[in-house]
Amino acid sequence: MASRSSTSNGSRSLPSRILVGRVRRAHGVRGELLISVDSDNPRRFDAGGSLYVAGGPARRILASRAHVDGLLLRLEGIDDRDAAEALRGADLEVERQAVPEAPAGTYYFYELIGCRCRDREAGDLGEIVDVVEDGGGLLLIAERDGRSLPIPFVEAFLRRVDVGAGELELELPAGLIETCTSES
Amino acid sequence: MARSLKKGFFIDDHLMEKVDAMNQRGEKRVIKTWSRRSTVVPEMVGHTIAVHNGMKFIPVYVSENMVGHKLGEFAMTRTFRSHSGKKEKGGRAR
Repeated sequence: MASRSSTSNGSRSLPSRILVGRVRRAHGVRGELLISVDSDNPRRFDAGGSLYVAGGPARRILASRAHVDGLLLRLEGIDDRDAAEALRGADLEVERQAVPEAPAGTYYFYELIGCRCRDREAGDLGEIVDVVEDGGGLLLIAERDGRSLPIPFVEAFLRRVDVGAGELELELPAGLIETCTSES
Repeated sequence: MARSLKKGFFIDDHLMEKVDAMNQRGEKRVIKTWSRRSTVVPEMVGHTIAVHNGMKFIPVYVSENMVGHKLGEFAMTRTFRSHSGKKEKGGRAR
């Protein structure tokens, strides 16, 4: 199993704010917002918490409830439909310090993106530019010199993960790099 | 409609031969295939199969819970623009 290193002492710069949702549209006439949730934290939208809306100041969450495939949210200072409609498409963010550390063996996508990938035999594979949820699980997309390589994010290939220093050490099976590298 | 049990699962012979040969040698090389229609069989577990998606090869590390599905299910054919960037979402290595 790969060893995990903490992000707290790392030298890498991580985003200061983390996206937790996005406003889809206004709901009703009392300022409720229908949002799509981009967070794995089930208590993220509990009443009493706060969110940065559209890069502006933090707003307190007054209430939240599930609605179809999203969540209905009431925020402090958003009291009517016009104010809610003005936030259509806005990002909802929290400070990175407010994001709990991922459980052992789990990594936030923002921690993995930007990491330098290295194979024990082939050497540098490039930088992780994306994490794609494909049919077969997570794929790390490493890019170097205009060429991209999808790498299955599986324990069998991981040797060391140091998200603090932004380094991933892998041991890929023979033939993967030659077969799967393509122009990005 | 489900496939008749009488027929058994389908897998292209050329792919099965490669998997069997690697199991006999105890090798773990990547197997390149265009055969998206082949069923994942228990002999493939632990191997990495590069499945063609019409444009390029997508590496699929075969795990036990993929058995019974078709290889094509694990190599998407449409471009998916993810927004995984700075979300409070994560995943664990399988």
